[in-house]
Amino acid sequence: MDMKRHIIFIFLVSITTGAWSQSALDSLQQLDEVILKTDMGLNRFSQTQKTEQLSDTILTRSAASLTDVLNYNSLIYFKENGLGMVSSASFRGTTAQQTAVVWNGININSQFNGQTDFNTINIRNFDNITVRSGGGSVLYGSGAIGGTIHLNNQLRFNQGFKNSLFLRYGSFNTWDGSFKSGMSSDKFAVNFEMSRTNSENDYDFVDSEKQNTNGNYYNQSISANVAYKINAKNTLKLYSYLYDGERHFSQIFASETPTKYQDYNTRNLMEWVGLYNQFTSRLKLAYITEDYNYFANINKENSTGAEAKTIILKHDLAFKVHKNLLLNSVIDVTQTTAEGASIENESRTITSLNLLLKHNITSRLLYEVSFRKELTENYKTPFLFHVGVNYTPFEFYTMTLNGSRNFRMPTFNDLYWEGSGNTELNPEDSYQVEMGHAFQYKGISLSVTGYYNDIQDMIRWVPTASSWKPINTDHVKTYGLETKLAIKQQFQNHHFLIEATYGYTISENQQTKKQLIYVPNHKAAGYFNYTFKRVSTYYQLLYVGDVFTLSDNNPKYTLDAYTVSNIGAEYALGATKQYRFGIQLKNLFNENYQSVANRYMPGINYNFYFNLNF
Amino acid sequence: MKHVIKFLTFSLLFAFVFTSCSSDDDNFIETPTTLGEYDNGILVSAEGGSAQTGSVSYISNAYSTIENTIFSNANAEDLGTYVQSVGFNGATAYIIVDNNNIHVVNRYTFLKEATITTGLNLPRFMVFSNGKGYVTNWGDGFDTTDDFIAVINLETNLVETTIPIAEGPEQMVVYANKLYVSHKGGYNTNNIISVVDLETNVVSNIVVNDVPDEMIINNARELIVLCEGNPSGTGNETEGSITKIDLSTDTVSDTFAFADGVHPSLMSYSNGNLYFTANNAVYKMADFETTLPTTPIINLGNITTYGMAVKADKLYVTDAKDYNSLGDFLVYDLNSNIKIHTFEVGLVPSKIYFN
Repeated sequence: MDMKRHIIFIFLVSITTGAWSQSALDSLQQLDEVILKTDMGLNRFSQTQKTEQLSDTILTRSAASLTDVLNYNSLIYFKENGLGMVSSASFRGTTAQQTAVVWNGININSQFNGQTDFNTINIRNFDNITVRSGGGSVLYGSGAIGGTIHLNNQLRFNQGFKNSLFLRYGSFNTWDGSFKSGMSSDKFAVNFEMSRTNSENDYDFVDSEKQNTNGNYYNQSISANVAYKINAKNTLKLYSYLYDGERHFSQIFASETPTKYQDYNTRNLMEWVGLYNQFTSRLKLAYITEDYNYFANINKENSTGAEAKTIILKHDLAFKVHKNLLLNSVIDVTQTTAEGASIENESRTITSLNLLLKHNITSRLLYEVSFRKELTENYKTPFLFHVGVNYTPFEFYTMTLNGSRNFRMPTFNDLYWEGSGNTELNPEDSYQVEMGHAFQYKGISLSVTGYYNDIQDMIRWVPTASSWKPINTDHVKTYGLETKLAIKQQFQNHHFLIEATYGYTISENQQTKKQLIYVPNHKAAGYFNYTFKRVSTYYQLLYVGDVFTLSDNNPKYTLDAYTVSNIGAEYALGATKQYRFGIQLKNLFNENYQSVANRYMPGINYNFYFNLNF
Repeated sequence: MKHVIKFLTFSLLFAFVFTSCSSDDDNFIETPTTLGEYDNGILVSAEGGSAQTGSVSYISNAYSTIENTIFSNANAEDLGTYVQSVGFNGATAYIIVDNNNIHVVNRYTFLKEATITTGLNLPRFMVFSNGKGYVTNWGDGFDTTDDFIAVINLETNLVETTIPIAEGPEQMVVYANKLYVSHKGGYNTNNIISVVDLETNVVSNIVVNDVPDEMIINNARELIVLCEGNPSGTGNETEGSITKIDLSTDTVSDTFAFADGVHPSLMSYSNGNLYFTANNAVYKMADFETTLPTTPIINLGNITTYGMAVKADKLYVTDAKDYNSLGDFLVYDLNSNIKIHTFEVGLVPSKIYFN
């Protein structure tokens, strides 16, 4: 037997034994799970870089905003204009436009400013939230440079009727509630989620007689998701989401004219999954709208705003060449039209072609290679790629290595802002490499990740003779190290979990050799949980190093480092501990801190909550 | 508990420090012969931004000392963002801030005397006449119908009346009991000079070129208006001009139009000469000249020219840099047209005043 035949034989054996070793039901459930997932990039092509899914416990214990949960549970740095106000992310030292937020596989960063305001997403409408560090433009397009945040809804068959009610009340008259209801049979699954949070948000500043004025807000979202298995080969799915929020923007001085801001976003996605032997076809049609209105004076009717509508048609075809080799092609056409106070009716169409490959050479060694090319008349599109390896030489050690080219396209504001827009702009261009080491031994895991990111042609608005204009100007290099240690131990009924994570970040403008403003060199987070039978107590710690607020890195104008601690306790009732009651003390040591200059955050504050599953 | 003690200790310490400061202030003796530490110098106001609120810097006439953030140094409080301009009346300075405040201070000590907090809506500039203060207000910068001039009673520091006026009132000049108001246009654009009769508060208009901003009255008693012209950003770019208005008839007597695409922005006047900036260069034009100068006297180089003033043989310029770094205050000698001093001042320095 020659070598080639030998290999084929081994493959055949492994395939057949693989098939025999699973019961029919197991494989059916696995198949369902595959069908019911929708963020294929995350599921198929994210094994060579760092991803982390936030647990349900973490989500329950967090406030409703995406800012709060990621601030305490990731190394992403947040710039928040006071609690609940505009919040932007810096992921691995990049700018706010270089982090993409992905809803069920679709990039939802604003078409106007290219970023997501992390306080306009209520986490209670999603079943899982995953942080994927590093470049992801091949999979998710524009803005996936520092990393991506994934908001996913997970449907399941055969779950019967399930409901979940969550309600929290706390300081500053803050309400946070959600209700989820799901029903499913072997062919049909539906779930419905609604959430609302509102707050007076009139907290007192620490060590001051002032308080947060004009900071009240509310937001509410509804989502409905349906899956219907037409037959063994075809399944239809529908994801629907609606967000409505209004924030009064808090003032720095009481004499300022009070302003407010409204967001209204809808997202709809229809997906048809077809299984045809080695082929899996996914045809998606999505319709996304974003609409904002800014009121320069809350006592007046007039406002300025804009609205964008995006239609996406996408076909994803996966071809399982054999058990260990997956080929995937994606073609999508995205058309966006936008209109607003400073943007005439403008429209752009982007077609993209992707080719992706994943090969499991052995059960311990795999690599991924993928490419993307966009076609559009609006800007010169780069040829994007991603290459990565995942290798587990020992049971306790896994190494990942990847390199990629990513981009951030000019936004509608950059291109079309009346009188200022610059249609000659090129996309921001990033080349990056990342290397990760993960050790796992019994209940202890340790990961160390290093990255290097070279970003050119960064778009910045600069004053010209007659107006401000965006140009491709800055060249920034960001690099750093991220570590995470997690220890999970159990002694009889005592369960302990300790997590500590630390990030060191350099983000340097290559012309000026200065650190970017609002990028701390150090960020650390800690989490300790102790559970004894039905009682849990936990402690959360956040440390953010000092940041420069002026681009010349003037040492007199920095924001001081801060450390914020939260503690909480929970009690579980019911046969399967399905009823939980909790109380939280946030900012236990009454730290006086700001993440944006002159935007003070609250001191010690309290809340209590319950979560009932029935 | 440890933190509570720490907190209490700190609070006590703070209280101590502040009470000692204020008792110092109480003991400060003002004698008529000592005008104060900010006398005999130049004041540079800076708009501020999110990293630093607006501020005022002091540079001595001999260029030997500089002190930044003199308002907060004197009063242990911030001015707020954005500082628009400063008006002067006798020994009192009125610092006008976007957040609808006017801080009233002694111009030589910068100790605060009062704050005007009500009746303003996006205030811009302030002038004085017959014991009253006049403040231009944009209202909502996009709303073309809510602009007004607030008339301030200088005894009570309250707005005693308002004069409704066209969109985007900016700078003012008082002459012969009339108030001349340039209408830059707020967030829109405008092309008029309003003339307010201060006896009757009746308003009339003089049409000039687009975006009139800076105004001075020259030695020949003509009102000189610098019209920037609509920037290309408006989609309706128009030419800038220097427009002369005959103050006896309140009509335009002469217009010097700039070439297309040239938008002059700053103007100052000294000794029969007009100085203005366009595209980072300073031009000089004598009263008697009948054409615009074509060669600049100073090329400011690659800076963000944001403020300009001339006094005697010195020309002063502010450089706002990238609007996110502390700006510079530059001193040019007009005999040699060479830069002789550079001082780091506040964030986005914009206006220059002589104290």
